[in-house]
Amino acid sequence: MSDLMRNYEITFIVDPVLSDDEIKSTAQTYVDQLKKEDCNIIHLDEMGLRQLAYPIKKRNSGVYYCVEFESETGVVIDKVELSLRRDERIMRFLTVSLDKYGVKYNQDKRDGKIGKVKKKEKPVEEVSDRRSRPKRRNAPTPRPKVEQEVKATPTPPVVEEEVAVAAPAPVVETTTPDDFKKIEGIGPKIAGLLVDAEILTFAQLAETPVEKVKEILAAAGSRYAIHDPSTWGKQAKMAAAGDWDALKKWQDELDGGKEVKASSEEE
Amino acid sequence: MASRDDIKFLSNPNIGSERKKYCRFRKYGIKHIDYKDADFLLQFINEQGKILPRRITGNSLKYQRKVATAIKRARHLAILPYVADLLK
Repeated sequence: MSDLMRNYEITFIVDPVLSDDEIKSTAQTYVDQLKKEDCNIIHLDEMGLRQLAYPIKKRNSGVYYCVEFESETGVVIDKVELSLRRDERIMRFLTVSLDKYGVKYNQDKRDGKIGKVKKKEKPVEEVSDRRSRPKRRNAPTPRPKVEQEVKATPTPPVVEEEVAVAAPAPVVETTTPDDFKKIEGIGPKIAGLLVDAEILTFAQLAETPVEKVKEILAAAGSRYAIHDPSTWGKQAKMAAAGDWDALKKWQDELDGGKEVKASSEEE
Repeated sequence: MASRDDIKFLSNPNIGSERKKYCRFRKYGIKHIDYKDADFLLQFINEQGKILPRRITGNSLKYQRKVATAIKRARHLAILPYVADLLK
């Protein structure tokens, strides 16, 4: 950070109804204005068309721009903000002064050091490590799962037998994916993910390494990365072998599809 | 069947012990919180878009303040909603 210069960042949203050229020229106006006021433009980030989290001026999307610049005094900002406020093409703007960490962060982000690598990795690790928040968030979900299991377990043996008697191999292998929801820890959504990843049967799930399953979950977003697939393979193996009683028994010991540290109890 | 000698604890000793919370910013050395990074900030708000308290996230006071500011800035820029339902 230079000694006398202060770093600022202006983010603004341009009305998406305008044509591409108009949008670009709007952003350029402000860049030019800043330059005229002896500001040193560090970077102009075109964040592009984004969905707004809530409608502004009856628009549901907007084109985001972010200008980072250096200035010796903050006098410029009043002028720029005034013209931003008067401009009908601008839906929203925000000026922020950056401290040295902010400047470094933006620099690193431009170099590609942050953003994808650092930030994306972290949430995944943390979320799987952490107990308190995931638990809270999961709180609503386990209940339906348990109900499903309770409901599902009495009936499936009958269904399974019928299927087994009628058409053992072809049905299971080709068309209908197995009911992954029977595995503790897998809900309807994750079952869908697995099917998308071409894991259709319990046998296939049993063969898939835990790492792979984790990858699938991580790819679907950080909220799925909370789930711990380490026991799924084993459960799937039992299910594939049709060993429902053993599976049920083991599931009773599991806590939401995770291995409870049972060893200490038994020792 | 566990014989009498095998039983050391009457109840599972791991039940009461909660995992220690920690401040991720301190632990991983994150110094700056970007208000434009919606995915990251999403971890600090609940389903209704409210900011989660420190007792749940484990953030240190310094970074909780920064998180709160970043979320409020993101809300102003419609990157995060002020009010929401089923955000997650």
